[in-house]
Amino acid sequence: MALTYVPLATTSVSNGTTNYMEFSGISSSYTNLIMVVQGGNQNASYGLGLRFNSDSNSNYSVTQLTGNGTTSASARETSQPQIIIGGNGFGGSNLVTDITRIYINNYSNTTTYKTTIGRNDIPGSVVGTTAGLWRSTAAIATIRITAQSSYFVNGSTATLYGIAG
Amino acid sequence: MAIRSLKNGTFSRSLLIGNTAYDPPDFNHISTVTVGSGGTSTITFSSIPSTYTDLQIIGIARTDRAGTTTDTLFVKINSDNTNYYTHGLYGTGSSAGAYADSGNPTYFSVAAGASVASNVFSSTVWELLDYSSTNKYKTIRVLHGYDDNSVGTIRLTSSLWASTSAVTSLTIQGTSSQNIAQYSAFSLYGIN
Repeated sequence: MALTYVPLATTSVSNGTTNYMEFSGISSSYTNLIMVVQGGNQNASYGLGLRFNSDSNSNYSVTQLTGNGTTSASARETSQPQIIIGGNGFGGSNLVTDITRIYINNYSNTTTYKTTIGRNDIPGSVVGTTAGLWRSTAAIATIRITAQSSYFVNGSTATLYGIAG
Repeated sequence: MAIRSLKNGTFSRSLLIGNTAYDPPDFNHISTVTVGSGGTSTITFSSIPSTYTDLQIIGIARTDRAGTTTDTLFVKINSDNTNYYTHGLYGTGSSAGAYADSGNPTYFSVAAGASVASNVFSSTVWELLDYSSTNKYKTIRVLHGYDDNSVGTIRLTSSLWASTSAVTSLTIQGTSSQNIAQYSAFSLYGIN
């Protein structure tokens, strides 16, 4: 019996000078994708960026909601070269691992723009959610997750899952 | 009685001889609905088997509601209209807040209304825990939102369905007379 929730690939950072992790050649045979990232940006002033199919134009935007135990806040980033996940204050360390889970629903359809939705948390510090948009009707075949303006914390990992049906 | 495996020639009293045990997958696809031309007022998942522990619906949504950016889709469980209690957190891109509701069908998802830029759909991950239990009320949690480079929202919602009945059907619908737009798509999964 074919699995429904399939791990497609895992990539990890084994040094302190890696700026991005990427999944390419993504099969279109699933309905939804989930990407789980453990780790974060070495620079605590920046978050992560999500880019599809090597599109570096200003076709991305995001709405965020965060809470830090004292206050809640919401922000939007428009016309960006990537979906910004986390933003200021979401940088990680070797001891505290950011947890990011992004759903990319109906990623292979060629009719709608692609909306991502996800959680991005720093245990003990911040809880966050994001709704992101890539203004393209192209099927997603490549996903790049980038440490904005810096590098990933050594040991960061990203795993991509495909969900059938 | 010993059985000989035709696969590797070994003898055993187990019918699994020579084969690995069947391990049922933990995440199972039940049904997918993609809305066709003209849209639809309701989407129903019926005769849901009780063989899983939790249910999850993953999808994208848009409605044809004119003059609306952030629209809402409800879901009725077992056709019940009233026994729901909902609380949530939201972010609009400029402010954060909380909301609550009761007496209506529970929140399924925000949906991009007709005033949202073309081709933009909301995304939803909707979960119903221990849905086949007959001795507890049911808990629902939802992560849902959209962005269109100008407006949008992101929400976390938790709901209670105050019923001990096992869940056998889910009906997704608008809050009024709006239709769920073409290309909206929802997949129902059972989780063990």
